[in-house]
Amino acid sequence: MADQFSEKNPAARGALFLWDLLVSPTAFVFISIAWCLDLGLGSLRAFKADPQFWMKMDSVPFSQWLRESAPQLWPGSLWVYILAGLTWLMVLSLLLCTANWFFRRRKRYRGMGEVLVHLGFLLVFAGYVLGSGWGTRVQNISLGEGMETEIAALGLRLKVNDISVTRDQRGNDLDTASALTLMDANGAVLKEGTARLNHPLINGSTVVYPNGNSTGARVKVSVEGGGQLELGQGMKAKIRDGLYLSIRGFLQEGGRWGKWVGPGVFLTLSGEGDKSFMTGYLGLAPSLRTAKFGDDNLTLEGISETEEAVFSVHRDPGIQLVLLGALILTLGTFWALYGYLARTGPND
Amino acid sequence: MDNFTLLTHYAAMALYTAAFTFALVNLRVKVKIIDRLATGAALAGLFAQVLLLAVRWFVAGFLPVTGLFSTLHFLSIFVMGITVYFLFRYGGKPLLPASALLALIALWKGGAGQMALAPLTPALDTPLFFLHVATSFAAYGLFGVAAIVSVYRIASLSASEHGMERRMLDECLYLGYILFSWCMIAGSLWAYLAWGSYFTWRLKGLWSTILWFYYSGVLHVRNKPGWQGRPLDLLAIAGFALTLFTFLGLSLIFDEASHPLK
Repeated sequence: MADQFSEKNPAARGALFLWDLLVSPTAFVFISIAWCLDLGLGSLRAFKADPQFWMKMDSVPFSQWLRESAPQLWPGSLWVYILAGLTWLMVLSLLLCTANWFFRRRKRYRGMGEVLVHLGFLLVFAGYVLGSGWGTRVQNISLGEGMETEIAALGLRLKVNDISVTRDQRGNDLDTASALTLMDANGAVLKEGTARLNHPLINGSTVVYPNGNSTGARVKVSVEGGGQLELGQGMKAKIRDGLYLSIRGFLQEGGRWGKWVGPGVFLTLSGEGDKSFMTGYLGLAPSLRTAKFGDDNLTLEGISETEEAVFSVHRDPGIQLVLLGALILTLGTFWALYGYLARTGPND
Repeated sequence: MDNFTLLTHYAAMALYTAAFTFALVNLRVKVKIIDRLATGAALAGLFAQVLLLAVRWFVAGFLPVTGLFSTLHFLSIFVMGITVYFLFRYGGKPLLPASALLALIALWKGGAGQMALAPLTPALDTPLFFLHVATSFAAYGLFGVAAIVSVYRIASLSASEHGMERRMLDECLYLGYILFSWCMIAGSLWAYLAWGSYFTWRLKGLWSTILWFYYSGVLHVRNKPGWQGRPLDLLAIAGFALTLFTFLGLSLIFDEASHPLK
């Protein structure tokens, strides 16, 4: 009936022609050839221009990179825009091809494996779009044992309870296992566990994974009439409501910076929202030990070297879709393999 | 262990050299004893390689597919394994000289790598790594044999005594693609657990994706009338060239940052 209708109706015939063109494997092949050429040549060119290009791209979700970094690299980033366009075209072709199979070509389960592969890929792509559009990546958070930090971009807090470094016979670091507590911004525990290589701490769409270890320093400061504070690099310690102290930098023993002599530490006093009020210096030399920071008298009690674990925290809201897509894709390949072996059995 | 590795490695190379020579002579003179010697040498070479893999696996406690030596051994096992399978299933004896030569080149190149078994670093200590590497090299082996079959077809040489060249090509492409899909999935899962992201913009990963999409395209057209014959053969040969570039070329030209592990 539909075919009879389309034979008589030029518009329907045209639509059918367009549909057949879009769902044809040949169209997919031409798009994928263009995609491969663009990515292949573009990636080599980008790598030659800047070997750190990939590190920068991997450090933020793709959409953020496209929005913030790609315009600065123009026209060197043209290939990425073309790649994004071709990927959407390829996905459209796959989507229509899959729909075409369901509505027009389906004969029981024949070809189901291939369709599952298509569906799996489409889900992976949908997950990637979600992750690149609404994901967040915070990298290189360095924390020592007992330290806790706020990850403002994700509304989380991360605490390191214990660090254990595995080394080879020559003393090279092989792995750093850290017992972690992941909390929400109010301090409620979301997940506790150990993160080490290939075994990150996963909480839903958030993954905390180790990035090696580093040597850091820890500073003890007493506030006159207010107790003692312990500070590590990248940490903020609260002096009182609305006032925070953080480490700006260190002076090693024997080091000088203007009138300051090491060992000592530059501390920044800030308010809410990282509004900085002042930076001052506290040294271990008796004359530099105490200084006024705003209204408070601070005294340096000690500086100690600490072993710190480095982490990256990624939130990818599309990861569940990606995992489901990967599962369906794998099932599809098994189904396709079974179908192929059944069709080409020993008696065939 | 090192002596055993060296001995078995060179034994496999010697046996594949013999298989190559006998199979080449047999293509010309067709003498039964030479034919049997070629097949026997190929089987013995494959046995030596499988034995080496099994012993190293047992000694190391993990599937040894780290480093150039081990991976190229793995590749040649699959090249010869699929050739031996074709030999018995489709009468693929004419394939033997080319496959033995490819396996030989892989072993010769692999000999330049570190033969000693290194302890497994924690970064590689995951079943996903072994699945990722094993399936990728199995796929590379199948893509390699697909290219050999295509070269035969283009040169109008018979690759099968029963005229099953097309079937052999199809099998290599189809099974190779499925294995490579598993490699991509295992690699992505591993990357997610190790680096918090299943897709990284590193050269090796990008070119592996290109390879995957390339063979996706080949599979889409392999049964289309317009792509039969020479176009399909050229696609299979270009595919293997792309495979070699992705596996070896990138590492040689752009050593730094080509893979997330570096």
